[in-house]
Amino acid sequence: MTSSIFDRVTRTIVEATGMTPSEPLSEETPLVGSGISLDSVAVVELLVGLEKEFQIEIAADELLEHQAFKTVGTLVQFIEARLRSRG
Amino acid sequence: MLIELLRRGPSFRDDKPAIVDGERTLSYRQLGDAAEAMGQYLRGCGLGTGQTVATQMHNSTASAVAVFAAGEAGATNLLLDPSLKTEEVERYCERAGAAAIMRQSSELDSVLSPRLPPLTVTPLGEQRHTEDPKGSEASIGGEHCVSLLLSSGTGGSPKIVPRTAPQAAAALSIFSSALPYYETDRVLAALPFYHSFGLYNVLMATIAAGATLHVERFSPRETAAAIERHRITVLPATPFMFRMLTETTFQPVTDFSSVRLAVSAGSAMPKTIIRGAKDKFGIEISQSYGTTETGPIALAEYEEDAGEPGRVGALYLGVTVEIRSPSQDPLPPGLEGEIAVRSPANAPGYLDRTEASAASFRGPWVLTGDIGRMDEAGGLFVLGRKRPMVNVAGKKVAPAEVEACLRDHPSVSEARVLADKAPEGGERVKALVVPTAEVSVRSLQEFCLTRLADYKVPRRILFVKALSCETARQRAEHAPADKQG
Repeated sequence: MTSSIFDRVTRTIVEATGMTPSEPLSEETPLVGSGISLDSVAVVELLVGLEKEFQIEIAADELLEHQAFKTVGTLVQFIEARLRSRG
Repeated sequence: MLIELLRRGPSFRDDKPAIVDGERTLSYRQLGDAAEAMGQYLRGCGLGTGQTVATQMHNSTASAVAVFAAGEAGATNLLLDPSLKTEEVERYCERAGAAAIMRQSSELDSVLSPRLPPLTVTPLGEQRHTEDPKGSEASIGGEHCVSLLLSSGTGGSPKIVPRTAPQAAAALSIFSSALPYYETDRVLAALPFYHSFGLYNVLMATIAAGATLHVERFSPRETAAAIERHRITVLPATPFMFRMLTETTFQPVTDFSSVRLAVSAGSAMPKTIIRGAKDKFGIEISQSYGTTETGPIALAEYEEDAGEPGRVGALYLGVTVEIRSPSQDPLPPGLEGEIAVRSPANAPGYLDRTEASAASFRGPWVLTGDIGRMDEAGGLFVLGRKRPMVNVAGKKVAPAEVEACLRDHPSVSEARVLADKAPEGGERVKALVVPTAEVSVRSLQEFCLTRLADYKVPRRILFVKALSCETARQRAEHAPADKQG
């Protein structure tokens, strides 16, 4: 479960934002500020990409409040929690 | 001039809301009072006529107050993107001769008290205050400039575009006479005030009409909810914003029925987005084509079939366009050449780049760097760019600036920056780099992030042995026109 969501999240990061990370993304890869550089445009692209991929609704504030964009791992956890709560 | 817009507007001194920003509403009376108090404060700090004051803020009640306060003080206002890094801000402030910078104060409540400045004013060093009168006056040919905006449009590194009061008034009126705003309008302010369209055709146009401005940081779900909640009537946005709105699933679909005017600016608008927005929200998007240097140029009002690719519509009243050959001869309809614009909104030249000024500003004409043609009926088409530029969601990136940053890295000998076309439209920054030692993409991006605004940092970096002629050619031909607003 975790690995497949991880794969889908990392694929969405690359596809939605046009990034090509030099090394494979890991759970520890930071999302903002370093690691992969997510500017404000990329954040919106990723948000919309994740909503489409997982058929969920994400409020931008929610991501910030939960610090979901800290690392790839925190984003995967956030998505997992959202999928669980949806049932 | 900017403060006069407020004073002469139909709602001046009314208790009608001028700007709504989340929980905060500033009436026209409060906006006038705050701008006057802040303007007096600026003058008291020696930041009046003949001085340049920078502002670096997201759209907010405070940033609107700051813009009008600079006008009230008689100062020239340099408007900067808040995502610019310290190094960039220092560079632009120095070039513009800015004596101080205004930023959002953490004491937000002070906005509502006319006695207290709602903003933090940071002086930028004594020597700049007095030393270089040429730089600090922000005047061109002795004429006082009211606003300074950054442009990466015509190639090279970013330049500072000044406007005198009549030119700023023209940038507003050219647009407003085609697409007027009314006192009853509720206008969404998602486009930033530090961009020419956001400044003249969103902030100024709304205040001059006595309408109400609703400030929103863009994110599709929140922005759509705000449009519904505030019954927004005028929706100016970038093609990127419209695309993100159409790609988001709303259940039930958000009610956009209050929107009477949707207008896109900032980059070329793909037809698929126009159709998508019509199908999903029932809105009919018009496109405004313009540049920071010239103001609004052409308007394509919504059409069921948006016509041939590259069509940006008919010229705004008062604007003249010539299609020029490489030797600067005007070309007849049907032939492709560089788009030259003559308009009362044309800037007088770049503030501090005399060579670049001479290349782009030819007498009353501005050479836009866009390649296009006119048809027999006077329709304008934008087909490409003469010089490279990357348009990231409406924010223009000058390749030369990013290349210079990459070359400063100790492990890089050469760099070339180009537009990476996204399949669904839009562009991202891509770099080809010739390394002199082993270096990772991540460390290069981190290096750039310390010096450049995030959106300028290449999302994709490819290492190559040499920059071939082929890349140079590709770069020269790379982009369909993507410069608006």
